[in-house]
Amino acid sequence: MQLAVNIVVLAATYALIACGYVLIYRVSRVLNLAHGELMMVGAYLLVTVASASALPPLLAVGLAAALSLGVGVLVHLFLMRRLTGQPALAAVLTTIGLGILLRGLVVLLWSAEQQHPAQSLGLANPPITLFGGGRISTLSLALVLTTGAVYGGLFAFLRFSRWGIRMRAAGQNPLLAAQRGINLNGIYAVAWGLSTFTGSVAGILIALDSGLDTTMATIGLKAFPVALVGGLDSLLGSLLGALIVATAEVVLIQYVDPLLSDVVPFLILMAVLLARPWGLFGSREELDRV
Amino acid sequence: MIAPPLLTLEAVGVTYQRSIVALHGIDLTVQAGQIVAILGVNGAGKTTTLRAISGFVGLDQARVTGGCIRHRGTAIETLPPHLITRRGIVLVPERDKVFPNLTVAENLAAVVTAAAGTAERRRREQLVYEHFPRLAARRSSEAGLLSGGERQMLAVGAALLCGPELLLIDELSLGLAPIIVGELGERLKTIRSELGLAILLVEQSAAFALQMADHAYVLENGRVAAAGPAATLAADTDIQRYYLGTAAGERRSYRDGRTRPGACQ
Amino acid sequence: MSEAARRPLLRTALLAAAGLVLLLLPLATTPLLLDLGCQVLLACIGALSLMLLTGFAGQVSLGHAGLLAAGAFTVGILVKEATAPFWVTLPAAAIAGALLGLLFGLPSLRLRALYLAVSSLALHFIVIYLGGEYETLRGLSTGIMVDPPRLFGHELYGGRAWYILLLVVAMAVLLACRNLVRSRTGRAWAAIRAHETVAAALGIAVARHKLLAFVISSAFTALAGGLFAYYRGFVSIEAFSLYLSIQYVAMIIIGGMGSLGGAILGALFVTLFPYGIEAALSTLPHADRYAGAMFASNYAAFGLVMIFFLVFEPQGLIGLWRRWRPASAKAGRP
Ligand SMILES: Nc1ncnc2c1ncn2[C@@H]1O[C@H](COP(=O)(O)OP(=O)(O)OP(=O)(O)O)[C@@H](O)[C@H]1O
Ligand SMILES: [Mg+2]
Repeated sequence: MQLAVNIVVLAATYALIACGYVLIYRVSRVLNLAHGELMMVGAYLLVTVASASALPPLLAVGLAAALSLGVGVLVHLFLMRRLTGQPALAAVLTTIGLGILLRGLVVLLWSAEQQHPAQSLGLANPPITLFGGGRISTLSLALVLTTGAVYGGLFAFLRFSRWGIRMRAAGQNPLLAAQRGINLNGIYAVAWGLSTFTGSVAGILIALDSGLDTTMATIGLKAFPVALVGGLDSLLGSLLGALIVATAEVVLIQYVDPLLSDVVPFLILMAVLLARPWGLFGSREELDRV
Repeated sequence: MIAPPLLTLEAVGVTYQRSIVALHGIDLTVQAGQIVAILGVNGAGKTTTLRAISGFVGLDQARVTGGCIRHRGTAIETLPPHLITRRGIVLVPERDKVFPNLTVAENLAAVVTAAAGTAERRRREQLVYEHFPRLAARRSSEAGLLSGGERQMLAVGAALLCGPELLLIDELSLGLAPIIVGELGERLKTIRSELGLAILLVEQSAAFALQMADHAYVLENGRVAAAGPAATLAADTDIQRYYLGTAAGERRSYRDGRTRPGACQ
Repeated sequence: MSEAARRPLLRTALLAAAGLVLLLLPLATTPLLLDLGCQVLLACIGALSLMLLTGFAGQVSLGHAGLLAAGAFTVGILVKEATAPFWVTLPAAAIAGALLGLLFGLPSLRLRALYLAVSSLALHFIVIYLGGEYETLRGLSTGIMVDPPRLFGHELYGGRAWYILLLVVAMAVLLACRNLVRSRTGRAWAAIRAHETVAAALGIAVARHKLLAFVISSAFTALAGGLFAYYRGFVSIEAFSLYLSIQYVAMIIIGGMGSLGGAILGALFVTLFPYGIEAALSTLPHADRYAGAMFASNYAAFGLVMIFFLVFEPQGLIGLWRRWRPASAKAGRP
């Protein structure tokens, strides 16, 4: 039972992070390898908000997440916008550069020491015993519920809202989208904002649960294979990919070797890339576009 | 003072991938309310002309390298496509004219009608479904599953939603049964007089285009080879022979015909 | 003398002079500078081999550190387990690299740019995991010690000896790369990089040439990794982070894609960069206050530089050089 709980929590974490990769890729065909660093910035923003104001925890989290949305928009406006029309690879390498820059800046601004935003917010995290006998910390439960809400929200947004439909349109054919009056830069900025927002929510919840230092960016990188396994252009895929990777990881760590934790996502990724390179739910044409 | 024409192209040149010159200086004018046709063989530069007017995004590796494109006197050749659309110049592309993974309704919902309010937008949507009842029936099916004719209707419908005053249509007749082309053409004429549109029409089928248009241009290798009122061009036998394929058989340059008049006589 | 005849002569003379300076450098410098020189030379070998793969054959890799690690661990393990001499370990490292290159290259037969980069990333983590597994298995949690190699009964020790050795190896790799690039193979790579489908239609054996690029590049890289192990006298997975892979990618971007000279410039730039930042920071007032922030500043500045080149100067240093040179040549002539 506890194993199942662990799997669900890890899967929810991966899924919440992975949807950021999918959002940006689906809308602008850019692979954002700075996602882990951006989500870390979101978590550090909570540290600042918590220490600079006496807001109640929920408001502080909301404010930090809103700020991170702004960070995502700024990244597009000041950086990625300049790379439209260049080869996809240049954009990916630029996000790698951005990731390094952010890692450095985070240490310069917030120091490399471990931070505990939950303490400064006075947030308790008591474990809850579930009906089957498994235990889950309150914040982990919050994370699972948030992931559900975020995915529900994203599905509804992309399916029913006008902006969501435009985002899908821009992803399919940017030129035609522009010819139908859609401002591509606006759409991309929204995608970057949303992606950084969801990533930061994940980062914030992880930081509240288990503290925060610069290793958080690595968690973000581990979620990247999850997005690819599911198919980079499919939200449903990243949900499924998260479940597969989390199951494999938890089971292998439990029964085989804890050192495997860092490689499992990448081992699964290799297997998928060799057998079905476009991912479980992705569309096949994607392969030729990049 | 005379109001400037709706659209003018002055010596417009376009280059693909920094080296392939597709247009060598095109001059062209569209007056408000006019239907103008662009004719020419494959690769003459018709699509490129329309794309230059409607704007490139960086992805194309295409650039306007010279000349000027004016809408009501304002230069627009450096504007991004969405701003050109918002000025009322709207393209119905030759290929990839709908979003295949969106439904018909979503294809229409994606359109940005910047100036129009919600009521106006709904009225226009109503108008599209009225003119193309087939679309109403297939409202919730994916555009990728539509037939060629239905796709063309959806593309024209989406373009109309943008609120155009100048519609650029690339190959209305491409891949369509003659009866559907005729039907669409009639629709367009009705819509045009209802909304007071100007239309710039690219066509392979010269007979259809010259019958629709008031004025026509013939392109050859990225240059304007002939221009004039549609009726005049339709009556010019040289033009008929060299470009418009009424005389089957050998293909020669129009210029050849002109510089060696003996060959024609 | 005609322009055409003078150019190559001038070029040869310049190159010879540069070679002489490089060779004589160790006589006139401090051990610190010699160490720096050795680092640059090692980076040159790594960057040249990555340039071969990415800049010429068009195959992207984010797994360069994994290959360096593979070479270093081959040497480390052979020395540790069999006290093998260097003339066994270094070829073994190159062979291990070649085999891994074949493995790294297999996905390239199905995958294009982005996905390929990702699969090489995956392989990086797998190699590092295996290295770590070996370390824990043998209880060497801090790493493997590697004794210096023995050459003609002498231990190869000290900056000067290493500098000369690395210079010779780097020159050899440079020459090998240059000849490869100019050979039939090089032309096939250029065709594949420009357009794979067209290359295949022209009758070029795409799969074979791609794999060849991976094999050669990886063999050189692993060799550099093996030399690194000897030079440092110590092997540990800590030295082969993802950041190292990124640094190598940065070298070829900053240097200038598709140019061997660019690879060398990039290696020089990226290796010296942290020292430059350190020097710059120490001239600021209250330098001691920033001492703790050195590492982070370095990181941030490096990210900035990478972004700068990608966004504003995609041709890299060699592009800058090419743009400035004609101007000075023009100025020199009446
Ligand atoms: N994306 C592109 N890249 C390079 N060259 C192109 C591109 N698109 C068009 N061209 C070239 O530009 C020229 C004009 O092409 P264009 O598509 O405008 O012709 P067209 O008159 O529309 O032909 P068709 O009747 O076949 O549609 C052609 O010679 C073509 O080879
Ligand atoms: Mg065309």
